[in-house]
Amino acid sequence: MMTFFKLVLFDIYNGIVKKWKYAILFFLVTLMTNVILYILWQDLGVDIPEVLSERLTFGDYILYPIAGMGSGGAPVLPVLWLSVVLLTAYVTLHYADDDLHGFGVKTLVLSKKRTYWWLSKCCWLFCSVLVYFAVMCVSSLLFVWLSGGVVSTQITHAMPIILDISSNELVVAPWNITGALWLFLLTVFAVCLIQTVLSLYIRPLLSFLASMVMLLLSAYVQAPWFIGNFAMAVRTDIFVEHTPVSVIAGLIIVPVICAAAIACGVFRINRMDIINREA
Amino acid sequence: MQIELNRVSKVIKRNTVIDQISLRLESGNVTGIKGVNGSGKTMLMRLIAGLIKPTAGEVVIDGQQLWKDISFPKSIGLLIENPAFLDSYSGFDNLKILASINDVIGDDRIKEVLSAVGLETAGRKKYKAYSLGMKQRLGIAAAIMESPDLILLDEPTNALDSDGVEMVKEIVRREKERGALVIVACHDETVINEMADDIIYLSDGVVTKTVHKRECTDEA
Amino acid sequence: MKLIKIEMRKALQGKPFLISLVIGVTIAVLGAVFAILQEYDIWHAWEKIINADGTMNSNPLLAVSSLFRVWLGGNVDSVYTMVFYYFLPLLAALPYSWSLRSELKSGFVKHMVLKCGRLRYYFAKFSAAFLTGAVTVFIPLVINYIIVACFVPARMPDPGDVIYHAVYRDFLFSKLFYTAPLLFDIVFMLLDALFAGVWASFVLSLAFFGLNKFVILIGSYICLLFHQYITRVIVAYRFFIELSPFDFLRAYQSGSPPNGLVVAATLLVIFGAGVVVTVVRGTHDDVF
Repeated sequence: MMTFFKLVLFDIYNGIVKKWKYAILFFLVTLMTNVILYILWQDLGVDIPEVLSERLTFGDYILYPIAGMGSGGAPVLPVLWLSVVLLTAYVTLHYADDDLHGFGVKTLVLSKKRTYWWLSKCCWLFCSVLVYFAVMCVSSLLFVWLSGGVVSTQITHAMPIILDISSNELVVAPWNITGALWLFLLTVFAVCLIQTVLSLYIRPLLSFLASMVMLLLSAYVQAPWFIGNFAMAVRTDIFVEHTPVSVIAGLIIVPVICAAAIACGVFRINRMDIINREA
Repeated sequence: MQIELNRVSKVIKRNTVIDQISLRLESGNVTGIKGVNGSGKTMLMRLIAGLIKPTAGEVVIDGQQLWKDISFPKSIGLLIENPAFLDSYSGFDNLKILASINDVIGDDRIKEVLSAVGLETAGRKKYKAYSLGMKQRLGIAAAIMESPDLILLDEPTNALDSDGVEMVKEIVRREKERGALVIVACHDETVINEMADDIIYLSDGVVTKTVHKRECTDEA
Repeated sequence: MKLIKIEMRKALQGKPFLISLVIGVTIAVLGAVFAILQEYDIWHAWEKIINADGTMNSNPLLAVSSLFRVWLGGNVDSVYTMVFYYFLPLLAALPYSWSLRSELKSGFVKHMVLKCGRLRYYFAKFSAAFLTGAVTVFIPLVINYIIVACFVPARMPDPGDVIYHAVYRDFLFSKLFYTAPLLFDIVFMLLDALFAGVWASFVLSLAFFGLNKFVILIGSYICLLFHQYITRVIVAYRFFIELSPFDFLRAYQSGSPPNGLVVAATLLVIFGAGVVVTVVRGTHDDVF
């Protein structure tokens, strides 16, 4: 068991601490979206002055990059949402594969248990997603503080307009996105986990493409097996009444998907040949 | 062919890897470069090949300065560090791709050099399936296949069995007889003593000693 | 030329090219099937709406059936169009843009530059990446066009149907669309192929910065996604100029109207950046 914890610590150090530049990247990306949201809010206030009476909240700033796309309306891809989720998928893409074909072979052999190696990677992956999401939250909190916003997970009335949620579908306020935040975190972890499992079978680049296909289709097909749906906050029953994605169902389904992916990984790692190959 | 290095230095990230080396090398000779790991043997070879630019000094080949008059020696074959080929192609196809650039040799010559390095049957196997020793042999084959005037071999006996080492010695002897300028870097004392006419000793990027074996033999 | 041929052969014989082409063709074929079924639905709907005497009880406002509206590059309603154009930069870069990085890392580049010189080699690679990128995107578009053309009539577009075509007056080459729509579609296919080639060669040049394959292929793509987000939110709705390739490569207006100068400038900037990096870094960098 000690070996396992050592592996986890090793992965956290090499896969997160040493890759601090990724955290900076997430911080800057979130800061950029915060600034843009602020500008959009100010612009909206020109046409609808009432929206300016409510200061934007932390919930607004963190919702904006992870909102996704409503289930009705014209097929305009939620590019920001896609970029943020793909960015997370990208930064977690090749650590496991590089480790398996590099230094990790030595640690794997010394640990004597392939399952430990795999479970350690799962822990590292969860910690990575958590850390990058936490950095996004910190960035938003900092911006809230600097812009005189409100530290709250309540969503203001400006956000449905900015996010283009049809008023016909909108649930009556208030909207609290705490549940949606956790669901987003879990879903992104699931996407990255599935990607990592796939990279045990196929090349990491192809597993990234598969993640991308899954996310693109999630934007247009509202079905629980396209798990990207659970990562879109504006599709949840927090905001929409008609055919929403249930947060509670998501908080049950997504962990089950994660468990299945982990089990799949255990099965694969214990049977695969570990030889050098091109990524 | 004549190669002159005039006070050549190379600094990489504030580390002086080659420090004011001056040498003169001529065809029909085998020059050995001897030194411990990290002494600068490979860097020196890269400088002669024109792969890296000297920080100071000049490398002149047949009166033409590298990085000024010419980019690379006109006729060169080299094996530096890992033999580097394309994984998804066979040994034969790898050599064929390289040979098709200048088009001076045909398939027969490729088969001949593969045979000379002991890869006559393995030539059709994919490179990624080669063992380390086979990769090394293919690297040597690539270096000699176009019968170049200058041959640079960096640790050519790496990963080779005793037959392989003898093969390298035989190839070096034959190339010398053909009139090529062969430069061999090796940390194995016995091998280099057998192959080289002149031996340059490198330490920390500096030439510490030069031994002309012919002179020693004459003196003896 | 010989070097380019060698590099092209390496590119076209490689698995990544095949994978990229298969993905592109799959999207194209699925898009064609979707378009054809879409049109069949419309024809069947007409049959139900039109009375025996040729009158209609109400105008269903159905789109006029036309090849020029439903092929992959021009289909406003198709999710496959969206998927194809969002995949386009990856499809273009996947076949060969990673190869320089791979050869620099493995050391194979030593063999090549010694035999043919730095610039010749790097430009052969640059050209091969450009050509394979362009081909990988062009072929699926052509396949889709041909399949759809076998089932959907090539009815001349009418400016009165502009809401279905989304080719408005100030759209790029709009006049061509309403006078010679086949040529219009070919122009956009070539534009897409050109962008794909330019992008692939630019991504190849990133190898000189020592970045790994993932950063080169995927990192650059994610930057392009963020670029679209920023241009959509800040530039498009303020200045009504389309800057994002994900939008201006389509044969219809998906955001703001594309401007010919902007499109040309974008292509030139990306191409120029690739060339400059290749020349500057290629001639000066040490080869290890």
